[in-house]
Amino acid sequence: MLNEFRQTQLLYRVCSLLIKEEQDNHEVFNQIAALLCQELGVIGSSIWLATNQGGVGLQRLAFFQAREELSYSLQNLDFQAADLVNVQGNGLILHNIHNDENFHEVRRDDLWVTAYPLKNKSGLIGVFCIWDNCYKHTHQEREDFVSLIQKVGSELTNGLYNYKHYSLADHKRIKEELETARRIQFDLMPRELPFLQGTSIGVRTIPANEVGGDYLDIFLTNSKHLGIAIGDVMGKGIPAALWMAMTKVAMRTAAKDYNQPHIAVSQVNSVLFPDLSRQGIFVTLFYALYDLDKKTLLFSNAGHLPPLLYRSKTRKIEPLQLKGAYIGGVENKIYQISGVRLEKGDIVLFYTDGLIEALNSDQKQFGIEKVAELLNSNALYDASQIIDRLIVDLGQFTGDYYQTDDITLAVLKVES
Amino acid sequence: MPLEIESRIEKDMMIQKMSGVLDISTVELLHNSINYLCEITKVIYDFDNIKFIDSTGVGGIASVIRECQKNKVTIKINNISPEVFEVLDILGLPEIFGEETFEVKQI
Repeated sequence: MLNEFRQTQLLYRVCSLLIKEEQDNHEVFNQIAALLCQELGVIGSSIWLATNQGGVGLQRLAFFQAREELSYSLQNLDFQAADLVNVQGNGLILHNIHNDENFHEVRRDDLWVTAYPLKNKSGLIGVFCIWDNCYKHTHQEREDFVSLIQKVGSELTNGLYNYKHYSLADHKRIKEELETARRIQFDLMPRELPFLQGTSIGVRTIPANEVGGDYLDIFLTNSKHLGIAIGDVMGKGIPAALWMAMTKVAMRTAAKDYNQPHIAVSQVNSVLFPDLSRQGIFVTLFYALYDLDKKTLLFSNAGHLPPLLYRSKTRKIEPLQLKGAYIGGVENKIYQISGVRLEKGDIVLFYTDGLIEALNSDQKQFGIEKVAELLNSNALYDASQIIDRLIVDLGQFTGDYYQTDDITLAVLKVES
Repeated sequence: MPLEIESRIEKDMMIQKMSGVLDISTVELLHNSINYLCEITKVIYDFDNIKFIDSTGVGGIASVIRECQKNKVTIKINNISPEVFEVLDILGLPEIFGEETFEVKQI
């Protein structure tokens, strides 16, 4: 057993590790478990945190085994000991597991466990276990050992409380911030669609996570043309969402300043290129301008999937093909322009890759053919009904299989 | 589906045979595949068994190509399936990095 000086030294080291402990870093508990084994000369130690997920349970924060080769699994025995303390609420002090039916894996008469409940005012917050195969023979040895375990346990209780408090607070804060980000991003998507005589418009976006990288904007330009911009930021989550917001601002500004889509897209690229290329990120962008009087749709494309044009006269699908490198790919690039004249009944579907790459449980993709087929079979409906039907079919196809990518679509239909 | 990279070096050329899916969950492996470029003058990525690629995977390819070009290492991506090439082509990679960098699988 350690003398008083070494006991104090051990406690000091445990305390200083706990003070240094970063708010959500549980690595420090592994260091303490190893330190205890080393200083007490025991074969194993562990630290458990009480959790409230799915009832009261325990999560092992740290485990250290001093001897590698054992004929039994100390980790399993350790789980049984901690669980017993959790269920019964009492500690096991220098408990010989021999003939104890709770430890069904092994019958050994030289294995003692001290499983000490870490409690504060609110109840059990953890369990701390020490495994030893050398029994404390004298009364004094046992007294000293229990006293040391209690002191270490008291420090660990404070440490665990801080760890749990900060990590939960952090988790809650991040969740709240993500929820705010989700609301902000939702507001960035078109909310009130412009009412246009003779044309119907529908939009829908299904984010895979709280925030995503799909971008869609629909607005009336100064020259009263309908602007439709759709894009996708490489990657997912918060970084993609930040770039989605920046793309929206750059696109809106360019659309205000330039009334030709290819000049506007070139301008977006000039503005975003330096930061995108430095960060190794890219954005796809398809921008179309619809002249309601002449029924012409002019467009430019920076690496986005070509929208699908359904021709009511021929009942055929024509992708709006136009090549162009993604935004952030080529500095000072001048993008190309193309255009089509639309007729009554024609439908244009703008979409992101999440739509055609949506998977079902057989790992099959929804696919462009299926989308084209649905456009054809629902062509008599207006734009928002077409979207509803596409979404219903997509839902039937994917079932409850989790989608990893955002899905965004917009439909423009010439009604008269 | 994971990504497997079988790497071998022949004289001053590194050949990386890729199988599986190149997406957000596997792109790190692609980044790590060019950690040792010293004494290499050419890198060939064999995409014969690449079944799917997402936008993060494309970003990974772009970053690997840039890294090689910065180190004056010739890079080629061979045996690209027509489906995967279509994704790269729509995004404009041949335009950005040169058409000679990409070679579609002959079927």
